Amino acid sequence: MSLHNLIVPTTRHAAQILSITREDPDIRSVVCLNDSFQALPISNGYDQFVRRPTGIIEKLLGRSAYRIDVSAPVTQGDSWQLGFCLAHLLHDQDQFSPTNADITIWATGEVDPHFRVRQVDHIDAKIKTSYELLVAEERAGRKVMILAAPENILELSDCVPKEWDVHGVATLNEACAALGIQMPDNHVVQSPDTVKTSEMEPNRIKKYLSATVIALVALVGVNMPYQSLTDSFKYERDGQLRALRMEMRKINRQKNWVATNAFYFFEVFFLLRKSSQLERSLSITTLTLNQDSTAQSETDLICARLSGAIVSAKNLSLVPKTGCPVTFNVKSKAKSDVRVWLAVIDQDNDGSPLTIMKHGADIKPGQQFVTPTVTINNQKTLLIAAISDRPDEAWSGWFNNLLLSDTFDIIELEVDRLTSTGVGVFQARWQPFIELD
Amino acid sequence: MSVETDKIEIAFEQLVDIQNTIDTVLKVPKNPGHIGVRDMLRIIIGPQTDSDQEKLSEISSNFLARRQFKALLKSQTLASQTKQAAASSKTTSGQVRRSGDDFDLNLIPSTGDDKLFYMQLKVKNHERFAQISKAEMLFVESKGVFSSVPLPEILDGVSQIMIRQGHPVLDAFHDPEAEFFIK
Repeated sequence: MSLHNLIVPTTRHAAQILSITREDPDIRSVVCLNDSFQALPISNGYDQFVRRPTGIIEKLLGRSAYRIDVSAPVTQGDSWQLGFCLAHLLHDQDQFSPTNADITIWATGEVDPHFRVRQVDHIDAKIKTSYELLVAEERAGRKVMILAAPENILELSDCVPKEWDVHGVATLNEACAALGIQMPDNHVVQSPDTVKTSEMEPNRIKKYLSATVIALVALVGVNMPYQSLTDSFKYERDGQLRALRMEMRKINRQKNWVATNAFYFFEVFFLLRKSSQLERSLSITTLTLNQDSTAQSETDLICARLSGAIVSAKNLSLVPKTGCPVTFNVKSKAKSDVRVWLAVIDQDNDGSPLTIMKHGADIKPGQQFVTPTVTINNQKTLLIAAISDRPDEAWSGWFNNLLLSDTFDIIELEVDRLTSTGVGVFQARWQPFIELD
Repeated sequence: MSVETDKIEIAFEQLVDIQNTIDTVLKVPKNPGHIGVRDMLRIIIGPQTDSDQEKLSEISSNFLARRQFKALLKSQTLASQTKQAAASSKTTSGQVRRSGDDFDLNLIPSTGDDKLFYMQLKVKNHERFAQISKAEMLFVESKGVFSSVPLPEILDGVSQIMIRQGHPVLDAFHDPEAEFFIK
């Protein structure tokens, strides 16, 4: 078994990967300049490259947080991805050793979510900055391997000695094959030229039928996005609703009929149903200041009638023009602890939405809370509430956007974001009181 | 005539000597360690310089400067985490959490054997989320000593810094009396 050393070139330095540390999943992956413990500017990009749903390292190796130490600054771009990815794979297979390496790998290229290697710019400048180091590595008795996208290798043909082992790699598993290591299971990507077609079977009707049924079952089985569904359930359970949305959108973009339908059923029968159940578990009643029948004016009497009225989309109370000062009693009938946000929206003189009250609380089953007093006075007053049994870190932003939305399209988008991730949304509007002759 | 000129010169030199002596005696020596309000504001608002930690130490060692700096810091801060009722809580995975109204601080030890810690700042105040997310510096006062550390960009409400064991911010984290400020 050979040990490998990784060099990631930039246009200014040749950065050697010095160590890889598996970290607590709660931290964000980070790239450090050796001995400085200063996070390099590519750290955010590296974290996204590692962590699901955007990252591929967690998909390949199952871990979501690492620290990488490098010998020289890597400050921008994505060409480090191939080198870092190979370093992770070698590290996982105990073949990464910067100090006792037999082989020095020089790798540059972007790696996309489908494990394809993409060409990068400034390849000639990168080989120039690395040349002396690579010659020194060769003199030290190490085999030098160059890996990059095939298009980049063509540009390098005149710049590297013949003794160096040069590989143009279109996919990550071609890179693994060049290094003699195994791509983790279930992630083998085939190049177009390696796809083989099967020969025709004898034409017996029964055989065709059974073959068709088997093929259909296999088609569904193969295309069923088991991992994505498992991840989506996990994201929902952990309250990572943004990641959940991204996973759902990713599947939609793939235009895979089986996967799209699987996620359609997941959304309709699990998430939207949950959203609807949560919405129904919310009980909102109005409380007014004048609750007795000794109220003086007609307006007071109308307002007094609002006390104890259940606010629902179907049962809207009539409100006089002068408005009624009310508080809302919010109760949860959900079976678990929930977070509730409730807001009352009016319109300013320009017709833009104006939040006149916003109140939220974590409540246990059967518990209730009362909001501050607010005056509801016309058909422009809108009550919006959202309820979820997941932390509101992910969805409170959508709720806030909803409060600021002034066009139907944006309102629809924000409501969709909330409901399609299992958050219950409730809206009610009061009608003006019209006196009849 | 020449004798009188000599006398005048001697008398003049004596007068100059007396003048110099008076100036020296009356001159109030300027405190070389004095830090003005402008310097304090610059430490808080920026731009940051390499000598800021040294100046924070000088401020910490001067009672009046310390009070003045804390008042300025409170007036400029985006959010703060006041003294804790109890020590920070530790989870089974070794993480330590320090909770506040505006933001939480999580301390996660590195799994590497290098005495490194990750400190994550998580914004909690959703109403001022965007405003707090602009923070660039973390200040802490623990046992009368001020320290600061630059905050990387807050993304999705989280900023993460790396600190070594022995760093004053790390010690302050375990001090329930310590106060954290972000600017």
